[in-house]
This record gives sequence, structure tokens and C-alpha cells, in this order.
Amino acid sequence: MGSVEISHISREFIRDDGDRVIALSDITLSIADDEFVSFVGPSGCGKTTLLRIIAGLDHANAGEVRVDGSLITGPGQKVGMVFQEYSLFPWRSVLSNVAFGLQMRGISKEERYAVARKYISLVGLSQFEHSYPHELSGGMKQRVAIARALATDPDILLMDEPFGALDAQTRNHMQCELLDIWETKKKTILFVTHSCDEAVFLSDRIVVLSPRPGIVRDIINIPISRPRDRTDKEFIDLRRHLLEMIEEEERKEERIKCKSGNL
Amino acid sequence: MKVNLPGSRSPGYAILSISVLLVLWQILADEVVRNHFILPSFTDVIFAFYVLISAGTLPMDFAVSMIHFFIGLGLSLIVGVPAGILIGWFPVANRLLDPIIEIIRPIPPLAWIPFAIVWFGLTDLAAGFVIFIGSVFPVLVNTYEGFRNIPRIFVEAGRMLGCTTNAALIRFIAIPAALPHLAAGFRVASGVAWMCLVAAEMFGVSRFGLGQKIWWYYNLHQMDKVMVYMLILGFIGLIIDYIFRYAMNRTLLKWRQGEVN
Repeated sequence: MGSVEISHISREFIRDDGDRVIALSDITLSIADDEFVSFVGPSGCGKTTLLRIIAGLDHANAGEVRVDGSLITGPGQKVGMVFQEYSLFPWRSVLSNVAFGLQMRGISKEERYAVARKYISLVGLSQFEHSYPHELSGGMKQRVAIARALATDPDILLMDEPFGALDAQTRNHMQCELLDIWETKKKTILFVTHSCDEAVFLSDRIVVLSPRPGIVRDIINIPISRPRDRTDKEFIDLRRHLLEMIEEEERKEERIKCKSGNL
Repeated sequence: MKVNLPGSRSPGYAILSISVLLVLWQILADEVVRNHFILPSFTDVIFAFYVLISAGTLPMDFAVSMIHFFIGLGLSLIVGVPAGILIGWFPVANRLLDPIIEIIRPIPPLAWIPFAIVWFGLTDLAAGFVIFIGSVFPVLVNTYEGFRNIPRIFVEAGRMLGCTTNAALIRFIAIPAALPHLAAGFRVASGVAWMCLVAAEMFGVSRFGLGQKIWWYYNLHQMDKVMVYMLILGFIGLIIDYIFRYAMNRTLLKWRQGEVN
């Protein structure tokens, strides 16, 4: 199970100069079990903040998040997270990184290493289990990060621009691997990205956020069956539609900035 | 024409520079200063070293100094690491303890000698205490710095994986992440501790000790032997630093090899 109910979430930050910035305003959203949902929007639209609130790493000023009906008050067992980059513990080997969550749950060394090996082989890095993170390429690091988040078998996987720092080819490859994992492991995935192509390629639904204040501008269903072809007409049309929407948001931003003399 | 210099790691350069230094020293002592009290020559020092080895007190001096050194450094770790963790991890502890630390820290370690004697008498512990005062602050400050510089993403990744209590976060995330800083602090501390050793053994806490013997032979006006002990102190300091660096890089910090710092 892994449904997420986001109701009336608001979050504001007080900047150093005393200004209030409304990052999220009254976000309500319902995500079904095993659904793949992406969050896109111009930078500053609060997509990472929303993900952090769902993770329990940040607190909303108003509203609540429920996972399978239970209220999120802090990081919990049902939710795993893959961060942007550099989140692997550099002092631990690949094996020990992946086994970390199980170690925290008090599982014996033999048992947790056996489980960790299973997930390391799932992401195709069995040969590297004794390597340290600095010995791995960017794509390999993110594979380890995914294996580490999966090892404790969370129902929901939160991913915050996990492939943002990878080159285009590795990125496309990782997207296919992620879909394979999603299909075999049956997880609910909430995926933050700034790439329209990535969002259309991966998601069942795309949530488009609009900045200042962060609100849901639109929710787009992607009816294309998987595996998806990037050169397909339907794919290209959806991508263009999404891109236009985000560009419009960005232009709006520019105008606001110009008016208030921030540029 | 291109001259082929030996590689930068070749011992040739070190041998050359040290040989030149020794020859210059010998000439300066024998031909210019001509007073073995003011400047003993290299050969005087070699001879004095030989005499001291035959006398047989060197191992005892070494052992006593090591006791003082490890009492001081050990106390520094026992006190400095937990205190550094406390002020590095808990902001309240930092605000409360920082003013006290900043007042005590600038007092030179040697200024504590009278109180060391009053509190501990003329014992090895008094010498250890002076060394402790000198070396505890580098340990404390570096531990604190290490804790302040832990990337937030490690803490958050840990929390997402079920590492949620302060004790678990400190043990599994903060200490390993701060270990390079801790190691740097310990290295600086061991250097300061070694420097405090001569002064700590100056006021008669023991009949043996590398520092104690420097004052002993100075009072006997045997400057060649003073020089022998000076060189021994230098060499042992060098070896301690080398062993420490080697051990840390091979064990606790092996994950950092090849990382750009």
C-alpha cells in the first residue's frame, strides 16, 4: 500500500530581510497506490519543499499529509527518499550504504547484507559492493542511492531531481531502469524534475506547479502506454504542451520581477 | 641542455640538504665559534650520543616522557571530543559553553604550571595536566568545526533511513562525517602536547624524561648532551606524526583516498 493524501498544505519562509515568501499555498492532491507522479514547474515553485514536507523533513504551516491514512509528523518507515546528489555516505562502502536503513532497524549483519546484495544486484552493481562512493561515476552513485532507499522496502519513494546531474545518455538509461524497478517492486513514486521530457517519459500524472505562491496550476494525465517512444507524435505534443505551460509561468515570473525592480 | 633532475620523491634532495647542513654546522662550530659550550659541533653531539647510550638512561627518559605525553593527550581526547560534540551538535550548549571556552583558551598552557603543582604535586599527573591544557583546545575546536561542517544532506538521508535519535545521528552520521576534522585536531594536539613536554618536565616532576634531561644537562653545562636530547625530541615528534598519519589514512580515513579536498 502507498497512497498519499495532501490536504491544504501551506508553507511560508521568512527571509533574512524579514520578507515573507509563500512557497506553497493551499496544495491539495491525492495520489493513488503504485502511481508514478511527477512534479514540474519553474525554479522556486516549491516542488522540492512539497516533497520534503511529504518526507517529514520539513513542516507545513497549515494542512496535513497522510500516507495510507496515517498523519506524517516526521520521517517514517513507509517513505524512502532519493536525493539530488552526494547523499551517499562517503565513509561507507556501497554494501554498507545500502544496508544502512536495515542496520537502523536493528537487523543482524548477515541478514542486512544479504538483503542489500539483492538490491545492489537489482541496480546492476554487484561487482562494486566493496567500492566507496568516490570511486563511482555519477550514474552509479544514483543507482546506489536508489538501492539504499529501496532496501528498507518503503511503500512510497520520493525522488528529488535524482538524475539532474547526469549526462543525457546516462539519464535516459536510468529512467528506463527506474521504470523497470517501479514495475517489479510496485511502489508509489513521487518524482521532482525540471525536465519536461523526463516527466512525460516516466509519469502516470504530471503535477504542474506555479510559483509565488506555489499552487497547483494543472494536472496532466499521460495516457501513453509504456514503454514510451520519445519520437512518438503524442509524446512530442504532450511535451510541447507542458513546456509552453512552464515557459508561460517563467515569463510571468520575469514580469513580476521587472515590476518590483528585482532584476 | 636539459638537466635530468631526480624525481621529487627521490631521497636524494633530503640527503644532499642535510649533508650540507651538517658540514656547515661542523665548520661553524670548529672554525668560527670555537666554543663548544656555545655551539657544540656535530661530532661532539655524535660522541655525546654515544656516551648517553652507554650510560643507559635513554630508554627510561623515553618511557617517562611517553607516560606524560599520553596522560595529557589521553585526557584531551576524553574531555575534548565529547565537549566538541556537545557544542557542535546542540546549539544551546554552544551558546552556554562558548564564552567560558573563549576565556580559558587564550591562557598559555605554561601559565597553569603553578596550579598543576598545587593540585597534583610533583607527580607525572602534574606534567600530564600541563600537556592536557595545551592539547585539549585543538581537539575541542576541531571536533566542533567538524560537527558544524557536516553536510545537511547526510543528516537528512540518515533520518529518512530510520536514524532519528540524536545519539544515533551523532554515532552513525556526525562522527564518521567529521572524522577528517577530528583527525586533524588530534594531529595538531599531539604536536602541541609534544611541545609542552619540555616545559612540563622542567619543574621537577620526575628524575627521568627527555625534557627533564635537557634542563639537567643545561645545569651541568653539558650543551652537547642538551643538543642530543633536542634532536631526539625532534625525531620522536616526527615519528609520532608520521605513524599517526599513516594509521589514520590506512584505517579510519581510507574512504577519503583519492578524494579532492
